[in-house]
Amino acid sequence: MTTLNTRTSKKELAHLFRRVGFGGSKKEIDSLLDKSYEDSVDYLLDNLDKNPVPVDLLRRYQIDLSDVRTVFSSGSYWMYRMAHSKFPFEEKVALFWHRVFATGQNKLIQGKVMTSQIEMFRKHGLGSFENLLIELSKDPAMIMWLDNQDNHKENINENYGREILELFSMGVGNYSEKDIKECSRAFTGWTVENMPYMAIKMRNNTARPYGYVAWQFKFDENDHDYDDKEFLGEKGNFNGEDIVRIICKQKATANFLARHIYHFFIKDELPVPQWPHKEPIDPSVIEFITKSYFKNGYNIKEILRDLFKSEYFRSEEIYNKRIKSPSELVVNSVRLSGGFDIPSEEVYQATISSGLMGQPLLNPTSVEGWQGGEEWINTGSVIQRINFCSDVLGNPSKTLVQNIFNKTPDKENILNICCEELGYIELHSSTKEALNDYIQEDEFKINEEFISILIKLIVSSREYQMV
Amino acid sequence: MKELFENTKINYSHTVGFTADVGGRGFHLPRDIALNSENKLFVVSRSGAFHTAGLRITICDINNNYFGEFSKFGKNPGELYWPCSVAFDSKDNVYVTDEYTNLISIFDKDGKYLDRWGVKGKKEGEINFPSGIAIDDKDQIFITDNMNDRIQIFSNDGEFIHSWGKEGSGNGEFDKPWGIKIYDETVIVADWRNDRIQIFDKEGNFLDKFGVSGTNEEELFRPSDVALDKNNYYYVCDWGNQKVKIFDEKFNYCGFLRGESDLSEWAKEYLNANIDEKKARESFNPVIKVDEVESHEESARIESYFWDPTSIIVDKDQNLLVLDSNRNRVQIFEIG
Repeated sequence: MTTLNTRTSKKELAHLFRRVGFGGSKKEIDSLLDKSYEDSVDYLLDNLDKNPVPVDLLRRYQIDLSDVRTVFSSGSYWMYRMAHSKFPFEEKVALFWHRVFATGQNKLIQGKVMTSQIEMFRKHGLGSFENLLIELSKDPAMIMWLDNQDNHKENINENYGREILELFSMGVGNYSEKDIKECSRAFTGWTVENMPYMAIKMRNNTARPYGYVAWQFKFDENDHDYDDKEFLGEKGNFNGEDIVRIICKQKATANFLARHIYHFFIKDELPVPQWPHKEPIDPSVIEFITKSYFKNGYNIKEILRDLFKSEYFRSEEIYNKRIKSPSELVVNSVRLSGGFDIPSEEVYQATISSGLMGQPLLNPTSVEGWQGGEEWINTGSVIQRINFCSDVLGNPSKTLVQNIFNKTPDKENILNICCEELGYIELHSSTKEALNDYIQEDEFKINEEFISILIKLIVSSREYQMV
Repeated sequence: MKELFENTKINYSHTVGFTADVGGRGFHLPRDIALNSENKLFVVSRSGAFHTAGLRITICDINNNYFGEFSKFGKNPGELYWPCSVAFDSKDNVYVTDEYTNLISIFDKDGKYLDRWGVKGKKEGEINFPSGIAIDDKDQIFITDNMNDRIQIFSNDGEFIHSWGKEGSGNGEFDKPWGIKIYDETVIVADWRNDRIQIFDKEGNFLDKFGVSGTNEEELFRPSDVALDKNNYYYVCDWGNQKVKIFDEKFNYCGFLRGESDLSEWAKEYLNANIDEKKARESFNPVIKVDEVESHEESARIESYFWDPTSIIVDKDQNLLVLDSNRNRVQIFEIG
């Protein structure tokens, strides 16, 4: 693939903003128009916002965002960050890993360790996949989620050993039952500090006497199996790090990761359980990502950079072909509306709404996570989606409605102005026709009230639901 | 026993309280403590966004006696939404600030609702996020008007008397002030986002200040409250650094407390009733070596340490009471 500095367009940048982050505003998109497309990709990938929200203010006023004990609190803390980050690529990638390495607070009980896991994704999620898998294996939330604290040298528990192969790296069909056992043996002794007490507090779901104690990784050398193991054709005294090293050099791992990346950043794929039995939608893109994986030494950021600059990603055929996940929809809408006030109870409503639409942040229903695609859409979730977007974006007190009104639109250009302010959303001709008919009616006036109604109608369209 | 400064030692004594997030004996995300003239300890539990049943004001004492609780979550008279601080007038009536409703609610010493006042706004006499509260011997109510970056003084029935301060970092200016204390004719304010303590007379004339912004040992980061002992040592709730910092009367740094809580009597009773947890706790090492340097994260992992200390008082017996908000308890130290 040759890389050229090529011209871009508002339409293409809007697509890039939707996929790299959570959608761009007109102002954000316009600000990159003087850059080449490739420079715009680099700009969005290489600039990070390490302090998107003033954490001291959040902890000071919304005090449950300090101990982040409940899933709503930990989810709301993340929601603030996603909605306010100037460069949200890091948050988008954290959301990607949260979907792949699905871990749920419903079993762990305390939200603090989930917040820490997401922070780990921020820290390591754009580096080497090998390093990320090691950090994941040491992550206290993951350890307790998949019972590795019960994986002992004299009595292995295969839960984590199985899932790291099945769901986190290679996929079913690329390893044997013996590999699972050997993998599990290598992760014996990977536990958390004060495990007996931490485990029983989790089991009993009790914050007494003094709240939860955040877990910390511990390698218990007395509980580690130091004997030789045979794993994927290699033999040695393997520890967990060795197992991850062997996993990461498999082509199956590259293919599996490529399919996840395709599913999240390119186009909705089949649900993960069907992958062993069904070919990818577009094998050539999977092959492209797989090659990039090895070329870049498993570096996630560089793989995504290659992808975003590729002809596959730039093709208009994939524009608006994914259904926005609930969290993407919620964050996109909040960002376009002008963000949350600090402090604000709106953040809790946004977090809850994502859950009501089918994606409770930090609380996927199982280790398989959310399948995405058409799974997001049912009669109940559609109503939630439309109601939330309408309420947030059509709120006359928010900056979006005010910005549009301040542009002194008329009946001829108001629809176009609204679409531009909503991140250059492209409406189907039939949608445009219906909205224009409404605008031309005598009762439609150019004021905040009718701008609000028009925005509510636009974001209730099928087009706004896509990314 | 930790020797912090010449001829004075400070010794951890015991802890009062434990987590009770749906009411009853205990606290949930408490914001403030105060002692009335009968030495009864009033603890304001703000509770969290999804545990509103835990909002109340608990009456107890430092000897683990529990006398009851009053108020609940809501916006009606007698209810509180985001309560922040508590203080008493000369009749031991209880005044509570509410940062959400911008009201000051008044209860009698047994918790019976009496009245409330307050209007949201920026003008003199209007309030935006009333945080700290202190009451002088004339029953004048001093409030840190947090979002307006000023101190306002009212009569006990809400009549505006005067105010001082504005947004800024100069002498007499504030950035989101929080805790406030009155000692004789002196008003001491935790100037939260300026990372310093400011001292005034009751007319608002600036007298002095101390505190260097930062996370090093002698520095302050987001101090939430301050108290004085009989020898004029300052005890600063260094909320952002998760410590209590101690300064002498000339503002020389003397040392810090990190917290060293053990089980309170209420916590022991809980564990005695839950034998499986008690047994598992026998192997619990509360002070592990943390592989993370950030103090908030360190506090989250070490149960004995302060985790968001928000309020501090010295009682007449020179006990230092530190409200340990995220751990739902009060750690008590003896100043000797």
